Amino acid sequence: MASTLVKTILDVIHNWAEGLAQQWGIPHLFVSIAAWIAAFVFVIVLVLLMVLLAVYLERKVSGAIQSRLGPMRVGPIGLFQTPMDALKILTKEDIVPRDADKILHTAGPVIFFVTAVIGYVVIPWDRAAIAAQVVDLNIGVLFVIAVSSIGVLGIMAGGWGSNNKYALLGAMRAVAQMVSYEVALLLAIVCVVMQTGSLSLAGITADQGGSLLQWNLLRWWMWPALLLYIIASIGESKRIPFDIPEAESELVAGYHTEYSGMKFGFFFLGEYAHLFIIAVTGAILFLGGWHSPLPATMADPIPGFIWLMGKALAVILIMMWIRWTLPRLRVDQLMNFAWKGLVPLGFVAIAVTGLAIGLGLAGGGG
Amino acid sequence: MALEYGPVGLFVLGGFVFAIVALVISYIIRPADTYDRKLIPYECGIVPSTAAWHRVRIGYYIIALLFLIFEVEAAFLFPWATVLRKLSGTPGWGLLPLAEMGIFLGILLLGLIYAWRKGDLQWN
Repeated sequence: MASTLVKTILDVIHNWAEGLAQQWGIPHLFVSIAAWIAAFVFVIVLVLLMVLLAVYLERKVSGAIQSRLGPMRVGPIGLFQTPMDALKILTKEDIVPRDADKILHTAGPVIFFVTAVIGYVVIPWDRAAIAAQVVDLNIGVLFVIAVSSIGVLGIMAGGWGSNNKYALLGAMRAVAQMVSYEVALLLAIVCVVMQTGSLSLAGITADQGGSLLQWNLLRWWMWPALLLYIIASIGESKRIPFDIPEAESELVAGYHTEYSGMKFGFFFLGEYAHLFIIAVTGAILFLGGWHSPLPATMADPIPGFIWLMGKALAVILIMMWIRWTLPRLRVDQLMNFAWKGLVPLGFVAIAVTGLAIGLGLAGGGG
Repeated sequence: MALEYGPVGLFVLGGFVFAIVALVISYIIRPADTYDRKLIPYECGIVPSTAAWHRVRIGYYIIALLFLIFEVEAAFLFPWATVLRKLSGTPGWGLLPLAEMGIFLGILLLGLIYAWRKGDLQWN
């Protein structure tokens, strides 16, 4: 109901804009560009809001797990704490070390942040309303992974540009780790692609439509891939127990040791934007995207967008739960785990999914 | 169609514009009170004796090679994965597409086992 209403409103706006453009003789391209700009504003606002929410949740969840309250003072139940922190970080002095490479030092966080944002361009937010998906690239899921792995360059630029030993060590570790866990992540995604027969995120979502039983989460032959995706995505987003690049007890703060003010803010923002896109992608790959878990015969008053956000938040909460429960791995354990544990598991996952499909369990002719 | 990638370009541009605008705003409203001590790279309070730009250990070389191999493998895997279900459902094909990729992955797996036995996966 609500989603059709939203779609109708968007359609009216879209038709109005198209009509206006025709009346004034503006080329169609400009209308498209205006729509893209609107989509970009939507995405950036959404990402900023989700980052604020995720940081707030992180503090509250860690508080709950450690029998504390978390932030309580600023605003009701501490709700304004993170917006205030964001304002504070904007007004803080920017300290660039004396011998640093100033260009790389600035470029690092900016690249890291930008690469975390680009991936959102292919996310299908809701069923086909116009702003629902900015563009449906036919390589969708590959695009998300490819773009977010460019973020490694930002970390390396920042770590190297700082001219600080801790920062360099942290950056080197981050590169080795992200590169290794990306292999495992790719193997998990291959399994999903085998099942859904599409690389486009809209196609992957469409394959899981119909009912709850169509979700990849409830197909048992996808479970090795699911396990692999959860572990590898935590490793890819560098969170405890895989937060070796910024292990406080060894490396001060890792690659962002020499960062302060808004540049640090961009590393922070990028990290949570990265976390959010991994959660959203996970929700699309395994939890049916914007599809509602209710049976198709029931009226669903909640728009698909809200379902997708809810699923993404559930994934984020699981990652937080893991973060505040498990201790940190050592650097050699971390790398060995990636290559000796996750990569073989990836082969097993492909074999299980492949056999299930080959033997006709998955339903042929997708 | 090339226009499909228009929004991607716009997102790249928009991301940079957002970042630069935020940095400029921060530049305008933040204090700038630096002195020599503050600008020393942080090494737990000790004045650093050397610059941090050192050579990189060899361990990364092996990991980078392995990464490259697996990324190329992924490039082969994805096109196969997209058509697997359709092919398996086609009469007369059955497990054949799976077996073909199984041979390819088997060779790759042998390589991984070789690297494992040689101790190249050991991070130390």
